[in-house]
Amino acid sequence: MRRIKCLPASPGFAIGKAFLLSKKDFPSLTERGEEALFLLENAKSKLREKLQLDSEKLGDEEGEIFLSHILLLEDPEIWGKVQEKIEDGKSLEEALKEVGDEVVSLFESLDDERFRSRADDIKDIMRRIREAIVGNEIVVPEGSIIISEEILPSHIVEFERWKPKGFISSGGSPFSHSAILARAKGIPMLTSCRGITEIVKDGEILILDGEKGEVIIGPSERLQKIYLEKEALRRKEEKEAIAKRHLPAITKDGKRIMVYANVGNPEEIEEAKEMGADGIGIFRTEFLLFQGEDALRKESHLKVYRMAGEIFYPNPVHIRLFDIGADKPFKFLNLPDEPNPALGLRGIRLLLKKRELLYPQLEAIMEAHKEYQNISVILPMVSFPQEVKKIREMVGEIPVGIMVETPACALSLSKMAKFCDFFSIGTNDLLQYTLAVDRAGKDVSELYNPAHPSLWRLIKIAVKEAKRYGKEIGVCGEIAAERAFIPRLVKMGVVHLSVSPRFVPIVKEIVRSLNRGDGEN
Amino acid sequence: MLKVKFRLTREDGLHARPAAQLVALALKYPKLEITLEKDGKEVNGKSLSAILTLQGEMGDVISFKISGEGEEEFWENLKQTIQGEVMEIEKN
Repeated sequence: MRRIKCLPASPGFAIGKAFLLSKKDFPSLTERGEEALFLLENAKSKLREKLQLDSEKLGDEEGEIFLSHILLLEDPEIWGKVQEKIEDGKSLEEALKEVGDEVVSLFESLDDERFRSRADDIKDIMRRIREAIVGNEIVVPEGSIIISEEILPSHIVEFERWKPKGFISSGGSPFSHSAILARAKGIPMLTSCRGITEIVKDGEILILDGEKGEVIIGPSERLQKIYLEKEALRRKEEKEAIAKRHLPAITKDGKRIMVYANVGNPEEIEEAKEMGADGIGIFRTEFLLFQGEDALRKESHLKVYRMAGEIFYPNPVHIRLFDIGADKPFKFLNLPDEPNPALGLRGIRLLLKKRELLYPQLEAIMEAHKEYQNISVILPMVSFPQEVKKIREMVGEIPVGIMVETPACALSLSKMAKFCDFFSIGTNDLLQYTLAVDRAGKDVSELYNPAHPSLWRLIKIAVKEAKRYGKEIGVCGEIAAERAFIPRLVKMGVVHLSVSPRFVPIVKEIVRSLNRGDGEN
Repeated sequence: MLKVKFRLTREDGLHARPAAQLVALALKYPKLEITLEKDGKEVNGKSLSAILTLQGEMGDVISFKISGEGEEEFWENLKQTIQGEVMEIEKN
């Protein structure tokens, strides 16, 4: 038995026989000149039809992936170069390979992962053109786990009829189009599984763990059984979660936990409602800043706040004040450059300095609150009680919440409590400031560990203090959506969990399976 | 010829989806020549692969040059698809 760590790209567990989709040997395309051009045009029009069908068969979002393949098929840069090479006397084989490699390496040199992973789409279109020229297809035994250096979007769609149990690639990325498709189809997938194509033999039994991000090669029968049960349970839970998404999340011992949604624009508010959220835990308002100067007018805010208040009435909507700093691209605000924006003028500090940014937003919240009393304000990046006191004095009776995102804040809730009404622990930033680790930092991101005891000690202190002062406290970081951490948070006594809209149903379902106890653990 | 400086305000900038929408629209105007420029790099507006290599993010400024039959109509349609803020527009 052997385990290999990889990146989870589509959740779920699978047990099946490995199918090594080794680079299939196509006959070399030796045609040149007119004949090569004719074959190419012919293949393109065949493929065009096929892609149209693929894209119509799929839903909107997934269909768009193949729509982009259709556009690549018309790409004047790619096919212009292929044609040039053929006209220069190269064979069809050489022309396709050279141009494909050239464009792929251009993509692979890009610095943003989300653009870089589009190289897969280029490889895919080149592969399918060759296939369309040659005209043969791969046969896969049903129920296999398909393994390759890379899994391309068309693999996922074409192999669907062989009912694959999972996909594993030695390269690739969880951001790729194929990962999106695998998730949409509910097929587990792993990427970045180094060396897998060398280590695994065709037909060998594997377990694919799409949650931990792990492949187990040659598992014992007992382990296989455990995983079969895990998968059955997961599927059942997922189904129930969706069916019961509009019902409250009540623990086995009868305590209601509010499951809110974190949203960043008006569309997500509607999505949150549809996914059964009990309210809006954090309404990130930075999207308004992209209107430029208009963000400094009360009216631009008011419309969206009213909409949120109405959709969720009478459930809470926590509107977070602008959480920005010098690292954000808003030129009209003329923010000074800072050597260390994460520790600089940001969040509430910036708002208290730049009142022209603060006032329109606060006024809009106060006005919306008159109509919809479920609306409240929540303050980002608080470190000092004075910051909260100042806002309290401005807003009067409107409920004020605090994002607990700095260790200083977590350790001084008792000083904050008299100025505010509730707390929400923003664990992403809290962890970054506690460990002094930037989770997006290339060389340090692996140190970013949400299980680190220091984070949990801070959470525990904060929850205890909040309760002592009779204030509501919840959690809104990514850990609030993680199966491994939810039981711990609920047992500690947090009263709300705020997560991305799509995670609301499953978080509710996980809460329903727990015993809270006395909420002091 | 239409020259437009345009700031991207969609959260997904000129990522896969908006880039595809742009090209899908451009391909409907066979007589139109379209180029996009960002930071001195100029690409063909009908080539999805080339547009993606610009790595257009929310907040970036893209300069469009559009010339040929239907340029105004194309621009009107494009504005609706890849939302943004017109910073400068020049017709000649």
